[in-house]
Amino acid sequence: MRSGEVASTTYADPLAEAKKIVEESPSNAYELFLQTSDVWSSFIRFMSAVQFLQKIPKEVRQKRAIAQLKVALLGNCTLSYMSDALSLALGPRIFSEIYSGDFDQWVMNLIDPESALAKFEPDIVVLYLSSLGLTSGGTMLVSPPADQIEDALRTFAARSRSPVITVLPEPLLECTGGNSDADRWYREAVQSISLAAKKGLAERAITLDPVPTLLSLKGEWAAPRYWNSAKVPLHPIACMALGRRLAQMIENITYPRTKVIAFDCDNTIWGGVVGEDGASALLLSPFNEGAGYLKLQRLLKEAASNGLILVALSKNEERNVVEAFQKRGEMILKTNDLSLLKVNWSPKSQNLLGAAQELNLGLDSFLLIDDSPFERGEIHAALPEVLIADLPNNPDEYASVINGLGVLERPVVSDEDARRTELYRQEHARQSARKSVVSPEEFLRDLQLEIVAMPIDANNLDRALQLISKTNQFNLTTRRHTRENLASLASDPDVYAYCYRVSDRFGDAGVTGICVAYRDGESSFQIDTLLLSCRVIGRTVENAILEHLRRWLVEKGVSQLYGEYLPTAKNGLVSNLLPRFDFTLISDTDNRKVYKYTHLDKPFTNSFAKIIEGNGEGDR
Amino acid sequence: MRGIDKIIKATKQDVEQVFRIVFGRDDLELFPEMTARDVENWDSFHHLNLILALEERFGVRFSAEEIASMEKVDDLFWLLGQRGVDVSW
Repeated sequence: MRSGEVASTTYADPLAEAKKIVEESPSNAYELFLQTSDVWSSFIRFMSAVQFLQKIPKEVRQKRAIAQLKVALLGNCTLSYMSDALSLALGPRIFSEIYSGDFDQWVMNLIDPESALAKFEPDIVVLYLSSLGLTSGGTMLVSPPADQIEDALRTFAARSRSPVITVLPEPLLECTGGNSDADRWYREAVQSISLAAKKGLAERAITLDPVPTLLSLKGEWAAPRYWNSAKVPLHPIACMALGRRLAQMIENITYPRTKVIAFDCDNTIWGGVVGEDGASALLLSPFNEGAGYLKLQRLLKEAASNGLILVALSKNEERNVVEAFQKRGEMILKTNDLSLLKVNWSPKSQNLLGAAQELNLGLDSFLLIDDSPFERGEIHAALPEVLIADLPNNPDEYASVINGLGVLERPVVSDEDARRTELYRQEHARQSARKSVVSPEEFLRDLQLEIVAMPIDANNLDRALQLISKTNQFNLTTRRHTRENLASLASDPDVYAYCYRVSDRFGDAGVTGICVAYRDGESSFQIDTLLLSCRVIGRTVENAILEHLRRWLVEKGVSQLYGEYLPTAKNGLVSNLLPRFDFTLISDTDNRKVYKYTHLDKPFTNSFAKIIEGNGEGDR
Repeated sequence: MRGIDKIIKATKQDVEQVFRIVFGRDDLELFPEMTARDVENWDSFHHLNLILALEERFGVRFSAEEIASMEKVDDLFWLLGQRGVDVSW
């Protein structure tokens, strides 16, 4: 025995902060918990998270969720780690209530219309018959009770519409991959149980093979000592992983998160840059570096056939991209697989936002696939709700990384069943207060948008100037005021000069809007500047700004407001802004449109934002 | 006995923290003669959780016999010592 002293590393509890505030502010503690906890790699963290969540009131978690689900876990073993993991992984998106059947009560539960399971009225059922349970801990290699399984499932399916996931048995620890009794038993068990599920549930059968999940674990997945002392079928870490995998699958069956895949083209679905290299030089051969790109195309094709919407999101000339699709016959993906082409030079976040509006889908329904860390970062910053695949450098791994996200599987196979599940899902969605796919209005209503209006002063002048000199798109006049100019406008009591800090439930965007208006007559004002940073476009911030301006003007006794639109190459976005707010066009030339608004007594529509008067702090 | 590469120093508080997480009790305090009867919920299932958490926390492994033989907290400290984790009361 060698002895060398090593100071004990202290265990830093990742939930310490959340635990501190849980009593006084459970909802903040919950948010903090969601941000900080990676619970999946450590049993201690997992335990800690489970214990912690029990302290958060149900209502707080329900409020954050978009849907509720009742999940029943049935099996021949201890399911508590799986159940905790399932509920942890489903939340925060789906608030789950979980029923864990007693050991070996699964048959009665399935067939008896008065059973605890029937009374629970599950939305979805999971049946896991572990190999250890089927073989008395590996001691008796008897055939699984296939007929009993089939009959129980059929009886349940006749009574309930809930989907049933059958988890296939795990390999026995004694399996070698050869022809030992253990191997033969295992192969037969997998076959007979999947067949029993298929026969009992017909086209509604959904199976989950635990093996890929077990293989993905770094450590051991089997731990017979847990079976012997507590009938735990796998190492608890493996139970957790399987619970998490089940959560993915359940999410995909009931409230699939991802509806749209937005993907880049260059070096993502083909190797090379089409605008530089030309369509004919793109790497697309299965025999060299092209293989990874083709695998990704195959994956996208599969997703499209499962009903996902594909959007090409590329900074390119559109004709170049179209040419690549037309000229390169080896492409698996064809243009008619795509629903939208967003191919131009605008920021991708804007194109993605545009796609969300055109498709009338929430941003959290999007998955982004892009090889460029910059583009991923840009979209993440602007649209944090978008799920972003963290692509590795090696294109060969693109498809497996994306599949690993677990959001593209659609476990239900037949058309008939797809329809039924869809109906089921719709019905369910109607019942629940909120849906995973939201209309823009619903999205905005839930946004908790807050606009802090602050007079421009020394505290925020730098930031205001920065916005004035940099903002191109959402900018009515693109007037680049100098520092002196802006400072003198701001100090004039007859000038409205405000900047706005914008925040919503996704975060604080900082000072991201400016409006300046000056007196140009006895009872009239003129908008000199109205701009928004692209970070906050599309959230009706402008409504709040105009309403704030209106109230200020009314207090001053002003009755008329003039505004103008000075077109540039980049501000087409706001060409129609003032008419949208019922301003009347009074003069129209190529480079200037002038508008007038005379109903200052009537509030501007501002349905979604809370306007707060602020002081000059918050130069962020 | 397995070879031990290094000796890790730990304190009663380090072990206590693991107990607190496993049993969900922030006020739990260890004493040498403490047994399962002294702690609410210390059943066989929680015993396993405790062992697993201790193994993860201190990078050790216990055998099934050792797990079964652990009666009081002092036994546990002694066993940790056998695995190169020197816990001081």
